[in-house]
Amino acid sequence: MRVRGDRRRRGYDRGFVISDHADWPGLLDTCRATGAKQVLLTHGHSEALTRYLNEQGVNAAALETAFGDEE
Amino acid sequence: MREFADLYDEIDTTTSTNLKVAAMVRYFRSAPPADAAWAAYILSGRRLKRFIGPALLRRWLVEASGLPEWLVEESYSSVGDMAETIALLTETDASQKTATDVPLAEWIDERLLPLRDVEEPAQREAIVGMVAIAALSRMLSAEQAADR
Repeated sequence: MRVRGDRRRRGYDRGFVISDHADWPGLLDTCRATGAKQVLLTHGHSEALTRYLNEQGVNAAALETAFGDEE
Repeated sequence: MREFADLYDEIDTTTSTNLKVAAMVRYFRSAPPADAAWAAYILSGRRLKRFIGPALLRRWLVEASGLPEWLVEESYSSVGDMAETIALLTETDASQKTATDVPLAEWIDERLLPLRDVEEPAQREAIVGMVAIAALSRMLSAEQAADR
């Protein structure tokens, strides 16, 4: 909802970010704070995060689960 | 430019044509003529001619943000607009919607348009500096607002 195109396509006046999910910086901070050497991603933009973490020296991979994108 | 930024927000945060028109009427009634002329130019969808294009802005964004190029590309394809991608990727944690007090016409006539006639490194330095200042000023005014 921070992205204008998403609001426009749905015809919303305003978008508010209300989420119990971590955002990109939050996910990276958490990965760093745990010191995890291996990170498995179950859903969301797994591909981008996997690639980024691997480039940062963390062994990351996507893990196939039954999670949908809305969960 | 604060007034123009507020106008943009007003137009962007409603789907009602009547409210958009009312916001524009309010703006154009009080805006100085030079600002109003540029506002009409921008709002009618025109762009500065012979000016720095999106490909250069994209390259500078990659350099200034320190993010990998593919990640900037990925962000762009998800956002769909280079200006918005730059705004989102350069925002700071404390940033709020606060624009600068420099009038719109001064921004364009005196700060942006002269960049047409300088070499690319100087263009880059100026634009990256402006983005950094915009992020900083948003942060500072957010701090001031928090103090009040």
